[in-house]
Amino acid sequence: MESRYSWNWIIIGLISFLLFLPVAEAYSQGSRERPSKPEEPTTENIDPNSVPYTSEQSVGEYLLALPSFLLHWTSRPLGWGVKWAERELPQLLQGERAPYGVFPLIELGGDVGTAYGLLLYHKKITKYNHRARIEALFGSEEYNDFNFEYTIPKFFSEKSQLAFDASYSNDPVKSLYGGNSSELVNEQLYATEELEGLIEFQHRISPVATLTLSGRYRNFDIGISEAVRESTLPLVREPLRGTTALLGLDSSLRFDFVDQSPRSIRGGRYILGLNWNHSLTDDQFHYLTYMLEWHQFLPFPFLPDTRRLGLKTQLHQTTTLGDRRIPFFDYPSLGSSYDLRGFSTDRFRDDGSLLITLEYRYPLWNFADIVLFVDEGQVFSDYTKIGLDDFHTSYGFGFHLISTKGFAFRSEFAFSKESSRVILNINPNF
Amino acid sequence: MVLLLGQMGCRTTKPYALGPIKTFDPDTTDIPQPPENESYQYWDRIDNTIFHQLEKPLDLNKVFRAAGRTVGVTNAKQADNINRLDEPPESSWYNNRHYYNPMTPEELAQGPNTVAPDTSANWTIFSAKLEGANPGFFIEDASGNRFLIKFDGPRYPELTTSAEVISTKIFYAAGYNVPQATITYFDPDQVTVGDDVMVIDKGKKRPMTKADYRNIIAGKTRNKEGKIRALASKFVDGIPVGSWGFEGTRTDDPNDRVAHEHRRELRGMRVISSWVNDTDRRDANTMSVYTDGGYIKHLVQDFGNTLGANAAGVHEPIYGQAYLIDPRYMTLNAVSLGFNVNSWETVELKKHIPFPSVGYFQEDIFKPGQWVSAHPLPAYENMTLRDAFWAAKQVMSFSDEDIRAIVETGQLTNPKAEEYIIAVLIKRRDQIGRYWFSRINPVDKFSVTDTGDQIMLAFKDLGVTGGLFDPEQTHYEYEISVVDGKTLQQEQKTEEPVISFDKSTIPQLTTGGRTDVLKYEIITRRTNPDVSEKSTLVYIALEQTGPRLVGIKREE
Repeated sequence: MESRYSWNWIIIGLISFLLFLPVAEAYSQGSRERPSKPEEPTTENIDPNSVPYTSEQSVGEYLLALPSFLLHWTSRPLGWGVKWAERELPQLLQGERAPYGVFPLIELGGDVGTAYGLLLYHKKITKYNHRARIEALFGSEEYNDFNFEYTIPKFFSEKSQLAFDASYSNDPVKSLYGGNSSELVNEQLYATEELEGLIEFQHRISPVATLTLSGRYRNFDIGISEAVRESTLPLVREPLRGTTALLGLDSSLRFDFVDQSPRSIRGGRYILGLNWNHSLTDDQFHYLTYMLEWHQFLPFPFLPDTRRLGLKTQLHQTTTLGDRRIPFFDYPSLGSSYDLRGFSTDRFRDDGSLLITLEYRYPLWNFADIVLFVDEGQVFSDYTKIGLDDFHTSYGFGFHLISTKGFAFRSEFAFSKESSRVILNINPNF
Repeated sequence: MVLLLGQMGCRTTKPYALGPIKTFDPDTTDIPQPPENESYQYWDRIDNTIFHQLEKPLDLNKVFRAAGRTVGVTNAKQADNINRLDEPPESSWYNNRHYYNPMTPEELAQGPNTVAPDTSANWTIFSAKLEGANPGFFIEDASGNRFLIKFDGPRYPELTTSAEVISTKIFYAAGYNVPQATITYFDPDQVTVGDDVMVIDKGKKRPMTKADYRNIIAGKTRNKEGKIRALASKFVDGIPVGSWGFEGTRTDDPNDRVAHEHRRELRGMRVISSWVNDTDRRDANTMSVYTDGGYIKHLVQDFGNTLGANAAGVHEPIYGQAYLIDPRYMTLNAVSLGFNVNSWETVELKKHIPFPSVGYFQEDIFKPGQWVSAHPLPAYENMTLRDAFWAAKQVMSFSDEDIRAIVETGQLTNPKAEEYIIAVLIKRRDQIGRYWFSRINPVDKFSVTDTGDQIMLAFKDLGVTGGLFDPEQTHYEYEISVVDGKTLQQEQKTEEPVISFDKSTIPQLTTGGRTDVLKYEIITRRTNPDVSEKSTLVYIALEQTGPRLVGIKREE
């Protein structure tokens, strides 16, 4: 049956085409030329210079153009809006972000559906150009995200800056799976509420080296929300629930040899990080996390430099201090918009994690790249457990918007044997 | 139904007219002054890049015509304002100039200019723009003439101002209405800020100060006497009533009857723009002026993005080769996984800027047939081979000396930079001529005379007169017939662009009150295999007063 219908459509198409040929011929300027309208006088009796040219369309031509007219007129309100914006908000269209302003925020998808919010910023507070930024995202009673940042550039020195950051978030449905060989059926659910305060000092030691020191306070409340209760999936075990306050001290040293072009063409970047944490509410958590990261960019041979390979290698490891423990949510994990992108969030979790990402980036246009990537990663309990056969694979493609200052936005589509993920992010992967 | 629709849009006519040839389109009738159309920078670019492109496949007229062209039964839609000689008559848009009545080098250098700003006395600023890519101001000189004063970018002295002057004069000579543009050097201390001049600073309006003036002129190009170099663009006569677009007509102008996308001079402007790499041609860079004569005159303005200049900076190699957002190349780039390398990507800009005052202006990657402005323009998109030929012959009408005379008015202080621009313009001119004249029969400037017993049709082979093709390797084949009658000569050949024809072989010439019309079908043959050999039909009416050219039809 389907085959016969297909042939019908082909025949109808051919007949239509043959019927339309005379129409096309009617417009021909060839053997039967269509004159400028109105037709130029052909006798000496009329001065042609007294008869103006006119573009005219016949009723038939109007009818044949009707679909395009419809699109034309439905798109006009957008034009009125752009013109209004140019008149009333010229800086918005000139790409010159005003020193302060408000932008809407929309987050789509995920377990909580849609969230709306606002971003408020001011880039020139005080004569020293302090910066402040407030982000507020409202999803539901149980899903919200607030963040406040205040940055003092040139803090005591041209090469230093101090930043304060405070954030609050709650999420009614988070998943906990397990180690490297965990299955999806191992999924357990919990709800979380997190409060964080951070003070961070950054100092540029040399043109390529930057030292960052920070102290943070975090308060976690791991519990069971109504949303989790309604699920058929198991809940995290009782000992993992409860409230925990943590004090953390972080330090990192970053050596950046990547070229300063907006696209990051060549060069390496090395990041060493050490993080100390201790629980404040009781004495049960005391641990260290260290991190090594290497980014390398390399132009693809025989092609312009804008075609390049990017490699990211990342090792995270936690270790307890004394006989204390590590809260489950602070174990290194894989599965996010930055690592093993095709897997669920925090899909694999253990004492350590190893990630290798390879990206091929090439220009779609002068302001956009296409990215093809593959992520290989595994978590492990100790280094001896790392095995070539234990890597999980995720792959995908994406689009990166590039501004004159560098990376601006990425939209990526990642896949794995288990799941997929759509990523819209203003932060680069690396 | 479809056939009916087709017939409703169909008319046939003779390709010649026995009446006078139309030389003027009367679009200068007195009309009431229309209100000023506000000019916008963004919407026309968005509209032409996105919505106009989406509308094209929805316009079944265009779809069917394209289908017909594919199978060879229809041609492209030609311009609506061309006469029987395939020329656009003069109008409020266009005047016959250099190609038709060759201008002397002095006239070309003079261009539209009638008056320069008086730098011997004080200037008064009466308006100013502090923000944007190129801040400037408006002055009134001691003679009461008003000018827009614009400057070069700090890194490229003399670049933008010279480009603006040179291209303005080229467009003028090609027949377009343009504002007067002059390089001027003024004493910065002989300028005062007028009373009540307001400026917009960080989004707020406030009175202009002397400090604002000093900021605008800070770092600008100066000569040895300390005078500042600027471009002075004279206020046009009449009342500005906004910009005009490259599509549609102005609804409040009853004289505006021809859809702009179907005007020959606007379609053909694409070729002239390609010559000078006029990439920023768009609605906002045009001007309509309500004249003292009571009609709207249409001007082309803002040539600061031509030659090697891109406002205060230099052109990027991509300019002229692709739209700034070009789905054609973007698709190719995407599916090729980066292995498609576009020609502009391999150009290292810094190595191709020979002089700061020249910027990036090359001929090596210039492809006349593929040249595009930075954003799509409906009129440019509609350009047919006949439109392109019309424009290419305007371009080819500039001799090397003509080009030199115009470029010298850019007053470049480095003679090598001046020579460089002249050389590139000459090369690009020839590339344009060679490209378009290879795709259509480039015979033109027909003249017919009666020598008594002979009718002599002479013409110019623009490919030969332009030095593009070797006359030794060129000949012309022709046939002559009486329209609606018998063939008089078949498979004839001439080495020279002259066709003589014995009158005695014409039977019953001009009898019974009917004027006989001869049809000459001319094909130019060259040994060059890249040249397509198309025909040109020339119609000669044998009137009592003598033979007269009454029609030209070019095969595409």
